[in-house]
Amino acid sequence: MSLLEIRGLTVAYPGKHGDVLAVDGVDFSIGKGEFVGLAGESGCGKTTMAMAIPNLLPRNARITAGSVVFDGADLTTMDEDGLRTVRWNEISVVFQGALNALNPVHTVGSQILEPIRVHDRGTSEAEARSRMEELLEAVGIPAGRAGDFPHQFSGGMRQRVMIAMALACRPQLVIADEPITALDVMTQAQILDLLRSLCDRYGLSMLLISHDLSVLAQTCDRVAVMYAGRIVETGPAGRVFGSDEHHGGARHPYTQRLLRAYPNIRRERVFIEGIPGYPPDLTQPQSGCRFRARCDLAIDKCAEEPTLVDVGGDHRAACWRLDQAVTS
Amino acid sequence: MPPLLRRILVLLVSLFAIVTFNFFLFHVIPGDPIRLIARTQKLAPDQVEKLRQSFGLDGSLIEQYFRYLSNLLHGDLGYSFSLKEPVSDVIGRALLNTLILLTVSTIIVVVVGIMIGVFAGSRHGKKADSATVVTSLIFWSLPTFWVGMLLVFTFGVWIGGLPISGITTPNAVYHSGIDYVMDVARHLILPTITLAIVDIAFFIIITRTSLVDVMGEDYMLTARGKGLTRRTMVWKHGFRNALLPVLTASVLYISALVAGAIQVEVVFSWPGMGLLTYNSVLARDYPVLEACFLVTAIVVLAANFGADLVYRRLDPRVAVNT
Repeated sequence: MSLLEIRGLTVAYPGKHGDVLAVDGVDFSIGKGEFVGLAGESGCGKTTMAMAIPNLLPRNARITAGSVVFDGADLTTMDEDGLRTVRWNEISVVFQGALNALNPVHTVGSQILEPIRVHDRGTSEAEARSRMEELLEAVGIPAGRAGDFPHQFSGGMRQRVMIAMALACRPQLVIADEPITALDVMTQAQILDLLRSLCDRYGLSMLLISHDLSVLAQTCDRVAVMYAGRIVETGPAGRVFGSDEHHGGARHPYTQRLLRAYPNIRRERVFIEGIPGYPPDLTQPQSGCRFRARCDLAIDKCAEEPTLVDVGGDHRAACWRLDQAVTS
Repeated sequence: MPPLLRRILVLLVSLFAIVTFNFFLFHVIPGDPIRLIARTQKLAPDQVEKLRQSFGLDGSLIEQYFRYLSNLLHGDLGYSFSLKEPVSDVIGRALLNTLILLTVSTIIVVVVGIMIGVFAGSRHGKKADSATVVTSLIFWSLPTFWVGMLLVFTFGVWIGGLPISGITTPNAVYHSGIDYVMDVARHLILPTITLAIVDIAFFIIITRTSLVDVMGEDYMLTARGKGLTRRTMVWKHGFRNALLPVLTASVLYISALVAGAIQVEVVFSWPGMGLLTYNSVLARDYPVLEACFLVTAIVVLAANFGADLVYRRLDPRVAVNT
């Protein structure tokens, strides 16, 4: 039984010409203790899908269909009071760019304490403080700095604070939305290691969102690739990214092109190929395979909606030309 | 040098500059106050000279300036041309009356303005917000003197029941201190309402705009993600950040009020700084005017200084950068 089970989730933003479906009928699940990566280019609906889980969507966005079952309860039908008890207590978020995600007028210590006070009312002040200090130490920040304000920390340290804050109520699931995007490469590696080790240590599930495939390849158990509001391929990271020699690699033409668009320092030098064209305009209604306009292998059949097909070993791809894609 | 000491030093230098500027401003404007006091061309030259001396207007401009500075340091603000009494007495009375009006109206304006502003700002884009903004803009655009005159007409002529002029009832006999306070309070009602109607709108708009900006910040999403109640989100995370521009506006507001609730004081004959300034301009009473400007300058400087200190407490980033 997985911790999170998303079925047919559709999120719509109102647009000039009707609804824009940023997330369009997505099925997705995260198991207990699983570290899942979500990849895709900007605007493909990664963040919208992730924020739909604890229902933290912008006010104009609506969940129009589907369910988000977390720990047995459907969050899409839950009222605000119910959601408040789930947020941070069960599902916390490490937001994109911690530079602005921390409140500039409160000390980092008090910001970490806040969710503990709100959700774990039985906790004494002293216990809460010691937990806060323990969390800071766990992410590599001296507990003595709890009284400092966010602007007194560097970007990497602020992201660490954000992570400590996310773990404050010992949640079951942490959503990390591009947690390392604004950081330099060394800091990125440290933060990723930290996330991974904390995840293993506290037995949490993690949803890591990134546009950087190499990041996902080295940290995640399982990955999902999104394109234009749909998940086109999902499976164990080793299989999808092909680092596992015996099991093929990416099966969906989009994932394959995406991988070829990244340099790999371990392989022989090849030209980096961009993907010609642009992602579809989601303000227009979509049908069939969203990628077919940019796909070399597209046939008439691709105008029909493809579904995720199991290609072995929990590896699934949504493409009509899977037989062709293998050899390409 | 510690930052606080530096700020106080800057404060004193600014004050000195203002005093100097004030002095020369009033002494270069055309018109001879002695002629105005004498009211006649037929005064003998030696008598004119005597008058000049008694008001400290003899000698060169520079001499007069240093004499003015020295008197100022001794707490002597001069002698009023028109009221024929020491300026410090005149100013003291007027300042007290203005402070009574100012304190009551500022508290009402700031507190009510902020409450309504937060109410509207936290409902950005909804009907309650738009309605508040439109209403505020209408009230904000009302001329203060016009609102005052309308109230004078309504309560003085039409309905009656509330005093429309002065700070106390003329020739009233008070049986106790409470009687007196109640009388002043009744006189306060209309001027305060006049100030409040227009100025609350100003604070509503400032607070609302500031809060709307803050509500869009990333840390507000964090606050929501933490599962906080709406109330905690808006006040602890939103308002605390939105307060900074509101504080700046409050300082400007207090500064403006001291110099005058001129319109309100004139309309309601409230014997405060505004009315005093107005009458002194008409009478070319330079010593009083100089003192009015000085008091205004001191209040503005003090308000800014105070705001600076509060800013440091409210926004930890300010304390580091300066």
